[in-house]
Amino acid sequence: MKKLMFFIITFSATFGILSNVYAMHIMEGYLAPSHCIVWSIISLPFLFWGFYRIQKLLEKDRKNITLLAMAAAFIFVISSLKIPSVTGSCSHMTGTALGAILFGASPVAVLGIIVLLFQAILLAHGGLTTLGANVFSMAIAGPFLSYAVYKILKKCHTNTKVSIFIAAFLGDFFTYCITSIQLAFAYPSLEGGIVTSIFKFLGVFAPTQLPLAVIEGILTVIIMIILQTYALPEMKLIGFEREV
Amino acid sequence: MEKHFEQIDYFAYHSPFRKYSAMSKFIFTMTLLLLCLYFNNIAISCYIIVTMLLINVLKNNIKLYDYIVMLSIPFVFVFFGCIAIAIEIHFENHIIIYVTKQTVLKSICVMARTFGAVSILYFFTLSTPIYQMVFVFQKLHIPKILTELMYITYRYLFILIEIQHQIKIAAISRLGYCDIKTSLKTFSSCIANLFILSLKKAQKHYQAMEARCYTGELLFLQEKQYYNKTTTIKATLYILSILLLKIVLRGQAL
Repeated sequence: MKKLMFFIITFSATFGILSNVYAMHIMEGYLAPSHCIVWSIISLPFLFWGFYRIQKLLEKDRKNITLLAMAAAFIFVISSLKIPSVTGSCSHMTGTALGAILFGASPVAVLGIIVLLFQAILLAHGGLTTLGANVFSMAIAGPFLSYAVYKILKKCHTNTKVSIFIAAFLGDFFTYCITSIQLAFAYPSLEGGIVTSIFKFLGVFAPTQLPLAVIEGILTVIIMIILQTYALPEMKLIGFEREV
Repeated sequence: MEKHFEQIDYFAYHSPFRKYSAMSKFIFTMTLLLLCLYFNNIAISCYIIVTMLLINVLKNNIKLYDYIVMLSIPFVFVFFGCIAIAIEIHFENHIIIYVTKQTVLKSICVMARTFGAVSILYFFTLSTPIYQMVFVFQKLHIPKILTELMYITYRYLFILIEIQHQIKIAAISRLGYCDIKTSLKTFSSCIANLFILSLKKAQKHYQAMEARCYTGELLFLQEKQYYNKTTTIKATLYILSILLLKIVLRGQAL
C-alpha cells in the first residue's frame, strides 16, 4: 500500500510539473447526462441576471457592445497565455478574478459562457455537454466570490494590494473546490460516499491547482497596480471608479 | 496553445464537410454525444473512438499526427480524474488507499467514454467554422445579443492574439523573460498593456461600425449550404450501427 501511495504521489507531482495544465475544465463526456442537465439548470438564474444586466448596459449606450466583446476576447486571450513559472510547467491563468474585478461579476457570467464555449470549440478544453457545469464553477462561483471578497475587503479598508491578492487567490481556489465537488457528486466513492470522494478529487488536483492560485493572485495584483497607474481614464470608461 | 487555437480554426475552414448544412451536422453531433453518454459502454465508446478517427483522418483530411496530438490535450484531466475514481480511501486507525476491480473498471469505462465524446466533439469542431455554429445558435433562438457578441468576440480574438504576439516578441527581445522575477513582471505588464490596447481598439471599432451605418443589428451574408441526401443516409446508418451494437451487446460488457 505504501508503494502504491508513493507511486501515486510521485506520479501526480511529476504530472503537475511537466504537464500542460489547463485549469479545471471538465472534459466532454466526463459527466453523466443527468449531471449535465442539473448543473445547467443551476447556472440558469445567474445567467438570466447577467443577461439582464448586459441588456441594461446596451440600452444605456449601444457603444458598450464592442467593449463587452473585447472584454470576452480579453478573458479568452489571457486564459490561453502561459504563465512564467519556476518549474518549467506550463499552466494558464483563469482570468476570471481579473475579469470580475474589472467588469463586475454578473456580466462576467455571461461573457464566461461565450469564453468557455470558444475554449471548448477552438481549444478542445471543456465541452458542449459539460458547458453548464463548467460555467457554474468557472464563470459563476469563482468570479462572484472574487467580486464579493474584493468588495468586502475594500469596505473594511484593507490594503488594496492585499485585497486584490486575496480575492484572486480565493476565486481560483473556490473554482477548484467547486469543480472537485461537481466531480465528487458525479462519482461518489463506494466507501464514505460523496465526502470522501470530494477529498479524493481535491487531493488529486492539488499539486497543479494550489501553486497556480498563488501565482494568479500575485499576477492579478501586479496587473491591477499597472492598470491603476497608467490606465485610469480607460478604466473609468468601463465603470471602474476607484481611488488609486 | 495559440497553435492549437489557429489549427482547429484552420481545419474547420478547409474541411470538405464545410459546405454541408451546419444544422444537420449539429443534430448528428448531439445525437451521437447523447448516445455515447447514455449507453456508457466500453465497447461502444471504443467503436466511436475508432470510427471517428477514421472519419476525421480519411474523410476530413486531417493528418493522423495532428489528430493524435489534439486527442492528447484532454489526457491530463482525464488521467487525474480517473485516478481519483479508481482509488478508494479507508479511514480507520490508518489511512489505507486501495483499488478494487470494480473501481478500476469504472475508471476505464469513464476514460473510454470521455475520449469517445471528445472524438465526436472534434468531428464537429473540425468540420464547422464558428460562423456556421453561430448560425445554428441563431436557429435555436438563443438571444440575439448573445449571438452578436459571439460574432464580434470571435473577430476580436484574432486581433488580440496578434497584438499579444507582437508585445511578446518585443518583450523577449528586450530580455523581459530572463529570470523568474522579471518574467512575472513582464507578463503582468503585457496583460495590462493588452487591456489598454483592447479598450482603444474597441472604441475605434465602434466608430468604424457606426460609419458603416450600424444601427444595433449585425447582418451577415449566409453562405449557401448544401443538403446532401447520400451523406444524410450515411450519417443515419452510422447512428443505427451504434444502436445495433448496443442491441448485440445487451447484457454484456459494462
